[in-house]
Amino acid sequence: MELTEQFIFLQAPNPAAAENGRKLSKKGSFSGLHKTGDSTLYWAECAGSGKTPYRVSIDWTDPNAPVCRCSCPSRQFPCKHALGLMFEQLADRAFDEADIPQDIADKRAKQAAKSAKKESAAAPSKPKKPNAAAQKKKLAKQLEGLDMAEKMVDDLLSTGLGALGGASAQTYDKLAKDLGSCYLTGPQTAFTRIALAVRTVQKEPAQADRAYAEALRILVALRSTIKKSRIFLQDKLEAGSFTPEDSALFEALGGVWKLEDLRAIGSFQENVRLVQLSFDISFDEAKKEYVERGWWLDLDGGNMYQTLNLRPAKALKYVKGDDSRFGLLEVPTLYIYPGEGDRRARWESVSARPLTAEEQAALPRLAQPNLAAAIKLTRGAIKNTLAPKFLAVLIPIGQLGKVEDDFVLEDPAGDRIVLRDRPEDGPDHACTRRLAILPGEIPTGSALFGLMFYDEGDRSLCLHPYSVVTPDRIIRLHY
Amino acid sequence: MSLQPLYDVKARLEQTAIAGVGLLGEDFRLRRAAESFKPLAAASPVFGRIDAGLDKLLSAPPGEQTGLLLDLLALVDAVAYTQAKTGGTGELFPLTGGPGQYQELSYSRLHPLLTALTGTGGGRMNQLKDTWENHPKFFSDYRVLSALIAGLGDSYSDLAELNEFILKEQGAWIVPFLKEGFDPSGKKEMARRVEVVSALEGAAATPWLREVLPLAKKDVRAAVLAALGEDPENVPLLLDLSKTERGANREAVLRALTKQDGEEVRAFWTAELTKTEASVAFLQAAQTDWAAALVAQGLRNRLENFILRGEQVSTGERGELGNWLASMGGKAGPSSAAFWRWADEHAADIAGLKNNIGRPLGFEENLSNILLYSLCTAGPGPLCELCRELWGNHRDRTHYFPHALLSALITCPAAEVYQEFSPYVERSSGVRKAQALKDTFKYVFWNQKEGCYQISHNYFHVLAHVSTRATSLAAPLDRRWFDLLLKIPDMGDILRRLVPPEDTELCEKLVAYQYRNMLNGSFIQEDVAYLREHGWTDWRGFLDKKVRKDGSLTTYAVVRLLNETSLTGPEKAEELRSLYKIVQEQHIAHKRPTWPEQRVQEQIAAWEAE
Repeated sequence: MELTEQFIFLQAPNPAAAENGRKLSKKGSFSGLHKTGDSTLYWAECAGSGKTPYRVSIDWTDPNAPVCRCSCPSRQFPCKHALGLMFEQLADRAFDEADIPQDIADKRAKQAAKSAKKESAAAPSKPKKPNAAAQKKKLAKQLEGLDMAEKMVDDLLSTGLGALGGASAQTYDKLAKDLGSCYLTGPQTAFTRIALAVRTVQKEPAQADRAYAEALRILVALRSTIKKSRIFLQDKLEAGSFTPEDSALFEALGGVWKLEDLRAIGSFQENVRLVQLSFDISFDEAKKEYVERGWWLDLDGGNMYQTLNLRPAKALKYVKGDDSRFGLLEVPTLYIYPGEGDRRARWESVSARPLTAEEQAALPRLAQPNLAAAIKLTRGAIKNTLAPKFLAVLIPIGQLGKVEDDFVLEDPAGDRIVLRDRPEDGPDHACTRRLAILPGEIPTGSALFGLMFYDEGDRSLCLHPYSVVTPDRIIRLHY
Repeated sequence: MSLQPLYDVKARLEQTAIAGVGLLGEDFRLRRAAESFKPLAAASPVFGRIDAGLDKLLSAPPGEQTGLLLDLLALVDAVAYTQAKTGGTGELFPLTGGPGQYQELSYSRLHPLLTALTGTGGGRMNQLKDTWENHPKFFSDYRVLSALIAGLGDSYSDLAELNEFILKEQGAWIVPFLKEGFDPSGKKEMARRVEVVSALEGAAATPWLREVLPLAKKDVRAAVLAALGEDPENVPLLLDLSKTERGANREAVLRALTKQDGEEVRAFWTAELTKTEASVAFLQAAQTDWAAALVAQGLRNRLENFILRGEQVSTGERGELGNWLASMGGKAGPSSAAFWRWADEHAADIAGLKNNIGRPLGFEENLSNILLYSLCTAGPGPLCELCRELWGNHRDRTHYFPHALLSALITCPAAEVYQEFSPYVERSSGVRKAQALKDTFKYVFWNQKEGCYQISHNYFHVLAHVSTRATSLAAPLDRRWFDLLLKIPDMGDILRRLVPPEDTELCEKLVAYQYRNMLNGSFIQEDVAYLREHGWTDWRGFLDKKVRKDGSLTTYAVVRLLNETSLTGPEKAEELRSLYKIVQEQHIAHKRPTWPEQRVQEQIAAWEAE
């Protein structure tokens, strides 16, 4: 693993901590720089505000997951001192070779013993058997909740979405919470989203059309979820099957996939090479959480994946943030969520390295054959009532230009699509206009990555561009 | 085949959902849309399904309506997606690549910067300064650059000015970005764009400036007029404009004309100063010989007039005199040297000038300051020789000592300077010597970025990049100066600027000096910070003498000083307790007011809890 600035920032709990670490390194706060002969442990002293300097060390036994230790009282982990020590390494400061300090050797041994114990505990002798009675009860409760959700939908449409406001919106909020008690957090969130959309209408009447369209889209999806889930859950109840299944409904109802469950249903791939095409962060008002989304291209299969790092606003400090990644990630096991379209993926461990020239050149060749193919895929995906109304696509570029005020992509076959920002993503995701100032000319053989979506405004399929993938580099329009 | 009936049905179904299915029976518009859709039903099976769905919905009993409505909406939506066009028809004008650069900046690096440039609220300035200081290359990224240009119109003017400064540092390659979307009738943002273009292109910007001038309004016009001053070819145009422009625009023309040279320009300014004396203020920035000659002559005439008149100088006259003197700043030609010699010869007369209430005008001090400012600005040259000449004529007075020593420092080898000037310092009495050294070395500082000693009239401006008017010393300072300086009290501030951070020997000496000062009670927060940063740990009783000496010292100030140390919470609490005891004793002895006890106890409790 090559130590890079990006790697240090990814270790940091927040960008400020990394910047503070860099400042400590820059102003020469570190002294007594040492490392072991095998370069797996680096340690030093760092001047703090107190009399005695902090003792800080980084254990690189696992190069992808360094263990940072520091005697400072900071609750941030790793602290700025440990990050600063990484910057010292990055700056190629001279570290004297020395024997490992006894206290760190002891901690290392303790850590190794702990890991070994964990590993032995993690290797299950036999698969865990779910508690059938409890699961049965849960399924029954969910079915009960679905009836309640259906009634809520009926009531809502009987009086009309326009009547949902003020006191009635609060009533729906309360009822939605009851759905949560029935293990139906998916439908619960859907109702919260509908109430939010209607509130938008009240706050900004100019946005009424878009907000009502959004509310209706959620209602349609909710109706579909209720109908399909009822059959899904009843089948499970009758069959006495209580394990998670390869179905998008599990998540639509509010289920949370664990990696072992994904492994159990065989939804994983091994030795995957991924390249991030774009990254963005948005705030989910309904769930009160930040959604950190990365778009990834599988270098071998050409599949598109998304990673979602969810950080509840209330626990923002305690959940590590994600960030843009450059270069290539080698993923030993890639866990893929059930569903269609842009499937969500996760991993336990990963190693990063720069892209080779060949790998970079191969990226645009992984684009859809042409615009027509991408459109066909998108139409197929967004027709699914449970799927989001956009699809991430990589389209070969014939040329990029403007037709009057619209930015337009023309593929090599001469087919065109209008490029515009997806209104639902908000102004902080606006990046189409940046195409006009894109640095340099776009070489032949490049592709454009973006989200294809249906724009109710002019009933057209459009593309929200996020990155230009050339044979030499990826130029991000956003993050 | 027109799909309008499909979209009409979709719109009516959505409206039904908004209004409520309770009104479905009375919804004649939906019925009409359904009727209009009928001809499409035969066109494809899916349209047939929609038609059948509409019939079912319109005839359904109340309990089934909602489900049918949503199912039908899902179907209509799916068909709408399938039928969606992709647009983009018409003549395509290919995008030409921009001149910007792309940097691989992660969200965590780019987002705070873009937020600072495009957002509102506090902390933005700090974010920008910090990024500029540590990662200047981030600003060349095309995403940042466009935000930076938009930020020229920020309502927080300091921030807009910082953006302008950063843009000027980028280089001429950003000019196309600035010209793209330029609005000559725009506001301050556009005026700043003109300033940046002018700074980057200089005379080469003339064609563009002349092109936009007829359309330029208000702030933009003033900026364009001022920018025309970068090109000598524009003199005839500017002279014409000086007759037609009014107010701020005419002032811009005058500013532009101060940058020009030639007989026409000299004649213009001679006439202008005769007509409007206040216009001399525009000549402050002018560096030409004619400007120096005009200002020197004007100032001399006025001083001669006052000396001859022998009357008190009124407040208004004093203001005018100040304007003329300020315009002398930074001028170094032969005319200004002649003026300084004249002023030196008439020093006694000038010192004898009285203000409107009969007190000394004190103008000689102002003259001395302006000479020093001119020296710092002009650097090596005739002004240095003049300063040494003036010092040579008056070795018995410290008046020209700083001028001469600074002149020597920027022109002669370090050892030579020390040998020449140190005997004078050694011979002088304590206070006089200290003052002479203070008056000299307060203009000298170590520029860490440049890696050399420099002199400047305003060191803060140089470090903050507000001004680049700094002159480097001919050689690093002779270290023996430090031996002299370290013996003078209250020099902490000056010495901190003079000691390079990596010079451990000098740093150690400075730490010892600061500690001595501290025990004497004469120090400020920055002194304490310096000691802490250099590993000082012996803080016990360091505030005792200061608290005893300074009866106006508040708890707030003391808490800040203690917080600046490396003491732990309980140690700080102990110090504060002991200081409070001193204050109480002095209060009982009627030597000072006391501190608010509750505040002291709260602070002690807070520190003890740490």
